Amino acid sequence: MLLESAPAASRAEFQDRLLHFINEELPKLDRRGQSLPRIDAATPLFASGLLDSLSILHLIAAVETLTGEPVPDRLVVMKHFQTVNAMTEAFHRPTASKP
Amino acid sequence: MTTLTHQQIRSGEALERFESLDEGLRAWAISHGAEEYHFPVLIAGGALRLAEYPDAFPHLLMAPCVAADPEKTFAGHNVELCDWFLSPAVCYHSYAAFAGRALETNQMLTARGCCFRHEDPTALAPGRRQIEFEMREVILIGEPEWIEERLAALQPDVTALAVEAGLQGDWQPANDPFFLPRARGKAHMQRLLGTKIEYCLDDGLAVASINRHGAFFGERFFIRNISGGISHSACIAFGLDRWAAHHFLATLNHASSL
Repeated sequence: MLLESAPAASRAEFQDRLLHFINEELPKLDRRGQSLPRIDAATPLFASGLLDSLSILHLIAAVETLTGEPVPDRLVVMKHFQTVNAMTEAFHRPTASKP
Repeated sequence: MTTLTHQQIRSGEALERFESLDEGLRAWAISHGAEEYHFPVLIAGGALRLAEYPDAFPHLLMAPCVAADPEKTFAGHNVELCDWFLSPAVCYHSYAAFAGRALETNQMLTARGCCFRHEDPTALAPGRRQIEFEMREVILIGEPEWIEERLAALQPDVTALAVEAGLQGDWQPANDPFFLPRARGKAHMQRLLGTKIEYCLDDGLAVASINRHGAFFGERFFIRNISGGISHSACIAFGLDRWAAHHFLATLNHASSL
């Protein structure tokens, strides 16, 4: 995993790091050797076959790194993964400040 | 959880209910234009290999075997496989039946059959998870638009049939139990793309499923549409033992509440 290992604190950081991962790191991991078109937070990730079954594993691992928690199978549904916006909405939780 | 026995599902009045439930599903499928098929219990190894079943689900496959040396006792040290398997699902037979063909029309089939899966022995329970069970399937092979149109019409009927049988539940995204960890991505994609959905009871038990295969089987079995394109396929599967067992339990619960 090429993401920073620390969980993302803010919603904006979560979204930025996820976009960076998909645009910069995921293409290097693509076994098909193809370059992926750049995406923004509203780009549908699966509608046009942009990502495949290997990509989704990397993407789930990225979310787990950003949240510091495993993603349960029941949450792996399209409404949570269709865009980076949807992923941010579904998985980012504000981090409680430490005393 | 109430534990049932096989006899409570497949004998006496329960057997009549079992058969009546399947007859209802069969009649429903035929009323929608399905042609009925009867497939054997055994399926050729070549058909399952074309479907890539042994790669995806080696842990579930069961096979008959013969005595390696018929002059010796038929025992574990004296068996060899033949190239047949016990059918793990009904629909694989239909792709093999249409292999290499150019379809003149879209095909809707229904068939009931015994299926065998080597499930975890500790998870076995009659009416919930069995090594041998019966399935009624409706199989659609043809143009993708036609398949989607049919599924859109059939899915609400499946819900209505289940409710009529006392099986309250809802549709949920699901995935097949792929064996290898590297296939977990395929499982996730099934859930994301909604290619497999299950009608699940309140306790999570799936009693029916809708499976969209896209061109997967059409490509592997070289089934073409009249337009020359590769056929798509889908199936609707009903777990008859689960269906009958929970219909039986619903009846019991209803009687005890009177």
